[in-house]
Amino acid sequence: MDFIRLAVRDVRRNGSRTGLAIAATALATVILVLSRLVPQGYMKYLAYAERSFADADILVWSAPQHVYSKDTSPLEWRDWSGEEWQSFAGYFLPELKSKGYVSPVDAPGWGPLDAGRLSSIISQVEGVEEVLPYLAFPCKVRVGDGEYVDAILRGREFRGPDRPLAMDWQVKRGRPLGPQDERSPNALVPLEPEEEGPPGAVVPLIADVIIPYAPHLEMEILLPRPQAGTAPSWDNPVSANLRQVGAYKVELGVVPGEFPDEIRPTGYWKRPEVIVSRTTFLDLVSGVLPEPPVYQMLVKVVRHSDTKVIVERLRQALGPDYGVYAIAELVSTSGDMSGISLIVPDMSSLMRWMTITMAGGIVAASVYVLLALQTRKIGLLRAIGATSKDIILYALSAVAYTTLAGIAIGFVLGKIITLTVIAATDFTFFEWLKMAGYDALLSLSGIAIPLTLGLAVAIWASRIPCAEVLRRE
Amino acid sequence: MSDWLGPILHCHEITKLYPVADGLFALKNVELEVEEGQFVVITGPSGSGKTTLLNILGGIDRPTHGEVILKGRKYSRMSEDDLALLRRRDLGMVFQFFNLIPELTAAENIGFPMRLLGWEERAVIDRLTYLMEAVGISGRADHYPMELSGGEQQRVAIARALAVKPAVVLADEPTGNLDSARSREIMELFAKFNREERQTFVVVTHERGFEEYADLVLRLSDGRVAERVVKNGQHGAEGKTERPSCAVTPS
Amino acid sequence: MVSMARKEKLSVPPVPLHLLKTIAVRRIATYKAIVVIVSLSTALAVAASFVVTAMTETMIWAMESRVVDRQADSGRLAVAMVRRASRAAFLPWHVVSLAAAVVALSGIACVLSVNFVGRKKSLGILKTLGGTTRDLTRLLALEAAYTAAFGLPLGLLGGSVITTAYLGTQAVSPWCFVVSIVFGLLSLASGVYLPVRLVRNASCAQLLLNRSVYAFSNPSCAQCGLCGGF
Repeated sequence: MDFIRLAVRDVRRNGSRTGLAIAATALATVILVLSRLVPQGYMKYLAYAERSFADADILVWSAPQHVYSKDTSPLEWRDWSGEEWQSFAGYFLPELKSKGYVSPVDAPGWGPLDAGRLSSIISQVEGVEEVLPYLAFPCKVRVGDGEYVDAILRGREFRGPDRPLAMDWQVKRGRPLGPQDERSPNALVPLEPEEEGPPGAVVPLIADVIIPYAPHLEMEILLPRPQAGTAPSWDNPVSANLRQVGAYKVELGVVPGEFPDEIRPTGYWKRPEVIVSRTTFLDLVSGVLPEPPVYQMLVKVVRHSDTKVIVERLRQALGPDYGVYAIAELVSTSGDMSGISLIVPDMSSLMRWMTITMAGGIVAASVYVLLALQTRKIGLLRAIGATSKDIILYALSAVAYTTLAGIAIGFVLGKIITLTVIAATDFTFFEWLKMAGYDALLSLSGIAIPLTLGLAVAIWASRIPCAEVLRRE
Repeated sequence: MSDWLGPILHCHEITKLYPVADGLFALKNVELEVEEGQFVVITGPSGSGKTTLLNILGGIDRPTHGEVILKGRKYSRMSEDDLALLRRRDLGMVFQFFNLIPELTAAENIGFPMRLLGWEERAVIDRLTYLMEAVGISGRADHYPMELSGGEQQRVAIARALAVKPAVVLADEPTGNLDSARSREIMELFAKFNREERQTFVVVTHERGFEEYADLVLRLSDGRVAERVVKNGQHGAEGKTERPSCAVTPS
Repeated sequence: MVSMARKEKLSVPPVPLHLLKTIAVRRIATYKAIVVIVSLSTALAVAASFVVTAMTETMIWAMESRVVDRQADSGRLAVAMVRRASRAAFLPWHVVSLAAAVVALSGIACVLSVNFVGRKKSLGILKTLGGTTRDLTRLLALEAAYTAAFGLPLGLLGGSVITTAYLGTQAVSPWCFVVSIVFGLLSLASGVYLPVRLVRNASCAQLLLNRSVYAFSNPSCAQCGLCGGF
C-alpha cells in the first residue's frame, strides 16, 4: 500500500512532467464521450424549414439506391428519369438530373412506389412516428387570359399548428389550411420571395413561378390526362377551380417562435406547390386517375435525435431496392453526394479505441520518462528492501493515477460540452444522466490499455538495479 | 615542439560569477601565464575554484569576465563548433573521473584523437604502441573501460590526452580516485612526458606530491590567486598576486 | 592573427564515419531495450500505414471494378463518381495510421530522450575531444537508423500478414510499400527530433557537468519550469 501512496505523491510532485500525459488522456476521453453523442442524430432545428414544408424527416424513393462497399454486385451509371413534381429529389440532389447517378446493375430505376405496402412496412419500424405518401400531381395555373404557368398540385394534411412539422408558420398571408378545409377547394399558393421595402410596396425578386395572390381569389387549374407509357398529356386537360385562402414561403434557416425574428433566411425553397387538403387532392385527381402515382414516401420520426438510427433501420426493413434519406443529412452535406450514396463500414468505434490506445501510449511514455529520470530513487527503494513486485506496483500506480486523472478531467469536460449540445436536441435530462453513466463505465474501461502498456514500463522499472543509486556523480 | 613564441597559454583577469556557498565569486581576477614546456600545478583547498578554472581553460565553461588565450587565439567566447578544432589539436584533457568513451576499447580510445585528425593508420599504430608501452597498459589494449581498474583507466586517459602532442594538457585531479602507489605512478608519467616530449601540463590537484615536479605552483584561495611560486626560488608575497605584464602577443 | 581568428569561419572536418559507426553499433548492442522499443514503434507505424493503405486501396479498387462497361462514356463517368465517393468515405481510415504514428513517435521520442540523459557524459567527452554538434547529431541519427533497420522490415512483414489475413491473397499495389516506408521513416524522424534538438542546444558544460539541457535555446524555455530539462 505504501508504494501506491508513494507513486501518487511522486506523480503529483512531478505534475509538470506528466502534464502532457494527463492532457492526452483527457482529450481522448473527451473525444470518446463526444463521439458517442454525435452519430446518433441531428440538432433539433436542423433543416427545420425544409422538414416542415416536406412534412417529413426522412424521404423514401425508389432511386438512387444505396451502394454498400462490402457488396460485390456490379454497378452502372444511370440517367435519372424523374420529374420535378414527383418528389423532392431534384431539389436536394440538384445534379441528379444533369449528371445521373451510379446504381447496382439489377436495381430498379426511378418509378412509382407501392404506397400501401411500403406504409405497412415502414410504420412497423421502431421510432417511426408516422408515414404518409407524398401526394402530388402536375398542374397548370391560369394567371391571365390564356396564360398558364406550370405548378404542382399537392395534397397535404393540416391538423393544426401544434402538430410536429406543421407548416402553419410558413403561411405569411391569409391563413393556413385546417381540418375544416377537408374536401373544400381552399388552397395555399406560393408567395414569391419579397424584398423588404417601404410598407405597402411589394418588390418581388425573381421568382420561378408567379401566382398572384389575393384572399378568396378564384383560381383555375388544369390537370393533364395520363397516358400509358409516356408523360401525361395536356391535350384534353381536366379543369378545376380552387379558392386562395393563404400564401406561404419557405425560408431556409429560419425557425419559428423560439428564435428572434431578426434572423434572415439563408435562402428560399421556391417550389411551386399549390397545396390543398388530402381529400381535396384525391377528389381532384380521381377525375383523371383512379389512384394517383406515389413516387416518394414521407416519414416522420418520434425523436429527431434518433434519426440516423431510424434511417438505418428503414434501410434494413425496406431492402436494397429503395433509397432512404434523412432530410437533415441531405441538407448538411449540401446535396453533394457526387452521384452515389456510398455506405462504408462504420469505423467510429475502431477510431475511438485507436484514440484511447494513442493516449495510452503517451501515458506509458510519460511515466517511462518520469521513472527513468528517477532511477536513483528506484535504486534507493531497492536498497532499502523493495521487492520487484513492490516496484511494479509503484510503476503501475503511477500509470493508473495519471490515466485516472486524465479520464476524470476529460469525462467532466466532455459531459459539460455534451450538456450544451443536448440543449439543442430533444434528449431529456434523465437520458443524459443515463448516457453519462454508460460513458463513465466506458471511459473507465479505457484504463485497460494504458495499464497494459504501463506493465511493460513497470517490469522495466523493476529491473533497475541497486547500483543506480551510485550512478549520479 | 611548436613554432609559437611567447606564452602558450594565457589567462587574463578570469572572473566567474556563481552563487557559491558564502560568496558570489567562484573566481576573481585570476591571471596565469604558461610558457611552453612548463609544468604548472594549481592547488588550493576545496571550493577555491580550481576545477572551475580548469574547466574554463579547457573551454568547457565560460568565464563571466576575462579572456583565455591559447597560442594567440582568444577562445573563451568562441562558438562550440569553433572550439572543436581547438580541442582536437591543441588541448588534451585528463579528468578526475577518467571520462573514457565507454563504447570503445582502451586502444581505440587512445587512437581516437589521432584518427580524428586524419593521421595515417601507420602513424597511429606507432604512436599508439609507444604510448601504451609508456603508460604501461599494453596488455589491456582490447579491454573496454568498464573492464579496467581505476588506475588503468586513468592511464588510458593520460595516453589519450597525450596522443596528438597537444599544446597543453589539462588535468583535473588526475590522482583523485587512486591510491598512493598509483598516484605516484601517474605523477611519474606526467613528469616523464614533460621531460621527454616537452609537453606543457597544467594540473589541478590537492596532492602535495605534484608540487615537487612543478615549474610553477599557483595556490588559489576563495577564487583568488593567493600565492604564486616559481621553481627557481622566486617567491611572490602572500596575499599579493603578481601580475606579470602581458599583452596578447601577435603571431 | 587574433582578430582574424575571430572572424574566420573555420571549417571543421567531420569525425570519420567509421568511428561514429563503431560507437553507434556498440551502443545499441549494449542497450537492447532501446533497439526493441524503437524498432517496435517504427514497425507499428509502418504496419499500420501499410494495412490502412492496402485496405483502402483495395476497397477503392474493388469499388471501381464493380462498374460494368468501364470503357464506355457512361462507365467512365460512373468510375469517376465511385472513385471520388470512395476516397472521401475511406479517408477517415487513415486516422488509424495517424494514431499509430503518434504512439510510435511518442515511444521513440521518450526512449531516445531518456537515452540522451544517460549518455550526456559520453557525448560530452566526444565534445571535449573535438566533436562538433554535427558529429553528435550524426551519431544519434546513425543509432536511430540502425534500430530502424530492424523496425522497417518487421513492420512491412507484419503489415503484409495482417493485410493477407483480412483480404486474402489479393495483390497489394507497390504504392503501399512506398507509403508505409515513408510513413515509418517520418515517425522515426519525428521521434529523433527531440534528442537532436537537445544535442544542438547542449554545451560542453551541460553535458559533462550534468546540468539540465533544454529543447529550445531561447532562455525562456529554461525558465518556464515545466519540464525541468533533460
